[in-house]
Amino acid sequence: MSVQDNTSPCILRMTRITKRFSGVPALDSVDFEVRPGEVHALIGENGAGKSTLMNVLAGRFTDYEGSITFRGRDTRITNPRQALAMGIAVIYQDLSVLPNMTVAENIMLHEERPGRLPWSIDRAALQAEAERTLAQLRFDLRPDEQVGRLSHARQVLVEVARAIRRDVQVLVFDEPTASLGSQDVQNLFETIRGLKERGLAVVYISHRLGELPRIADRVTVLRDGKVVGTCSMPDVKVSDLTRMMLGRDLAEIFPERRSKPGRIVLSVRSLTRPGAFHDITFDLREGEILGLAGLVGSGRTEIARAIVGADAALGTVELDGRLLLRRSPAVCQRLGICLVPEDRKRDGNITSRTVAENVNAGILSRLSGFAGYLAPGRLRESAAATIERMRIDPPNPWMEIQSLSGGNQQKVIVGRTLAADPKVILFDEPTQGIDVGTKAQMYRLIADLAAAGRAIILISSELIEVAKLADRILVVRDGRITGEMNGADADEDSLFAACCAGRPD
Amino acid sequence: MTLDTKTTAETGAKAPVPTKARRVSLGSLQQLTIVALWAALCVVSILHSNEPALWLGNLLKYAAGIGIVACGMTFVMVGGGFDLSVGSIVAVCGVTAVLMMKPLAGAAPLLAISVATAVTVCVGLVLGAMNGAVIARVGVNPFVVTLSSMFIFRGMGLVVTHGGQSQVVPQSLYKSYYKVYWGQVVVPGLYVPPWALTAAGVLVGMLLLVKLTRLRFRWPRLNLPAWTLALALLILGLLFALDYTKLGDAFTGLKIATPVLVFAAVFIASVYTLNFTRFGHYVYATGGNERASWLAGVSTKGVTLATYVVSGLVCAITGVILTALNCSAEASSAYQGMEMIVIASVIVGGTPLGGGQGGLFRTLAGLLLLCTIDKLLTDFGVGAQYRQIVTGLMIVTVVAVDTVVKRSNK
Repeated sequence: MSVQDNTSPCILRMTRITKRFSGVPALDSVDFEVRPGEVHALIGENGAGKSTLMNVLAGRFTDYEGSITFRGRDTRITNPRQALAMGIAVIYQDLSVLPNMTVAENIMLHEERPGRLPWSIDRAALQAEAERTLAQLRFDLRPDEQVGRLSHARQVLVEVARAIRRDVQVLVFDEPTASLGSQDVQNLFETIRGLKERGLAVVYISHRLGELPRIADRVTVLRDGKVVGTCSMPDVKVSDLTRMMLGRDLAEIFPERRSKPGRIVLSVRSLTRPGAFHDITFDLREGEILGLAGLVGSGRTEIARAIVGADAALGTVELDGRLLLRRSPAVCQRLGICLVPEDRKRDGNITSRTVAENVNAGILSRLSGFAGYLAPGRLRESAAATIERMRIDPPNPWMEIQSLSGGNQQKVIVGRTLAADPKVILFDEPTQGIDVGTKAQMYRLIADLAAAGRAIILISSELIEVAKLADRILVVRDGRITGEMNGADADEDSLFAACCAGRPD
Repeated sequence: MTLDTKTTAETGAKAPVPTKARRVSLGSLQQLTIVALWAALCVVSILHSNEPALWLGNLLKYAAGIGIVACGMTFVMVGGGFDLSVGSIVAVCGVTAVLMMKPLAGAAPLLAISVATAVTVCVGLVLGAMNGAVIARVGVNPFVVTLSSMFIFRGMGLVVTHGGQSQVVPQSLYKSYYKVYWGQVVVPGLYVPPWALTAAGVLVGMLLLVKLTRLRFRWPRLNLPAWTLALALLILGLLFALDYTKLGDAFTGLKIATPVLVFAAVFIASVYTLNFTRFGHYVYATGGNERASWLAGVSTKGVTLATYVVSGLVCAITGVILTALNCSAEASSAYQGMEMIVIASVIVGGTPLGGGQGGLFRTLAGLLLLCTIDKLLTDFGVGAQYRQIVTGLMIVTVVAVDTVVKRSNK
């Protein structure tokens, strides 16, 4: 883990950056630097401070401590416009392209040429100029295409082109591959390499370690707002990075396998949703953890949603030998099949309501008395039980859910599911965006549930989770089950190979 | 553990000290202004009034019709919806009540009135369900649906009245219809001094506004439901004490106008339903995050539909009551613009357009604020055109202040 030679001068150097939120430091004297023509990856767990650091750079905060040296000059960046004018652009995960305008209009935003009529725009010039930029960058985009119709990956290109037009020196990508398929990732890496050759300094934020060897020159690891270390990429192994990120070995946070599969609880037969997945057939046993492994977009989430009836699908689902014909989340919950959804913000949190209301949302019919009367005491007791069981912190049932940390929000949502006492639980990305401590707790919880005889389906992009927790693993690729593995035999690498098999890249 | 957490609910045991100190001083200054402004308005209005003792009674009588509809609107808006068609539903229901009484002119007055009321309520429920069905089942935006039904329902009213002719209640039912809905209920023997009534009214209003503007006021060690209940009891007590006529001439007891009584009943029933039942929790959950609630097993479509049915129901009640005042109804322009005042009350109260938050006490506070200003201006003889301007300014000011305060809290 040596710091690389200082051959070329840094274009950007951030020194002893500290940023506090309500007195709590999110960044604690962080040093970070980028050289022109390099890709410097910034990695860390959620809440490690990656995004905060980049927000400081993008001028989103005015009250940070420490100094920023840009092109050899000390500067204080206090607003996003200034950052852009200096030549620093951030491409966020949720892009800032205007979907209803064309590629050319997006690229040339703020650079419109005046036309002949007063206040009019010379569209032809705009188009030509945009085309020139695209050709220069060798982007395969038509300037008159509407941006909203492009795939996410191609929208990223539009945003890159816009940044390049503004003569950007430092380009920050904030988790750009989070919602891309592997072909798109390949293309994006191609683009980034091209930018590197043009002499741009690229900062690449990610929590997917697997892709770093393919793109990064140097890596800086953040943990709890502090820099753990900066390494040059060829010298460091991914497993070392994992240890630096987590502060401990990953293996030790997984509980031991101790589930004993019993009789069949759930039978899925020829489940098909055209365009999403085809002919999914499997059985799930009591006390079994069944992993669904696959890349993002392979159809895992859609399968889970179809099982609980959140999406319509052909084929049959049987619970304890009973055919479930008209499935809906409400019906399935009553019968004992519950889904912990993937996107916490969109599908999990009941926003602006309290923890008590959130954990009780699914079981109000059990708590209510005559004419739907809900005694406040019963609500509180039921919430307190879940809070204690899930160890939600702070243990206050009357707090609004969005004021909790991500990990605790996830505990609330899992707690809501467990309150219904289901026989079958589908966990879709249960550890997305939560800290290591909570992750470990979640793993133990899943193992305990299985040991107590619950049947569990586990979906995760972190293949190591599936490999370490599941008793049996189904590999999903392009909406089909393409393989089955025994959990004890699987490891991260073999799973990854199975998930990607037959794909370019 | 955790059973003693009720106190933290009110004091909000989060956010470290430094930012909080700033938040209080910045936010509450503006908020205090609103509360003080309202108190000043009340005092001016009371001093100007001919019968200071009846001030509160008159205010509530004036506010009752709008208030009943606002209760239903609160359900709809907390659930994340919107109902522009309430004015039209009230108009149609008024017409329905009169038309139903016509063939019953010969029957016993009370029977005729009950039958007409029952039919009108059914009409209100059906109209609300029509809104709700299109919004919940088909998934069309509530703004579009209720904007359309605003026209459709009013048109239906015009059709049944042959192009908007004014319909009059038959002579034989005239008196009893008025008496049933605009008479007084007498509570024998109850006496509260007039000055106390009005003073208490202003005080309760201020308390509500304090709650509405989210002042960081340290309440006594009460949890939220208990505090809500106490306030409800206080208001109930006041309503009983309202409309008290002078002690001297033939003291019979405390007189309460029927519309105020109905408003109180609807309000209390609404508070119970929204805050103390399963359905109410589902409404909040649906407004908070419909997708998440649905995945958690709430039948959100049914809940959404039901909120519009509630809105239709209260519109019918208001329609019957307001029609009784003149014993005539017409559909061409009656209650046009009512939806705006009702929505304004809910918004000024602090229920956001997105739903999931807010509640009936907020709506009551917003309603009182708007009605006091309107009544004050009317008393001073200010023309309708200026009243509208002031009302509009009031709405935007209150919401702007709220927005600024919320932003500064972040």
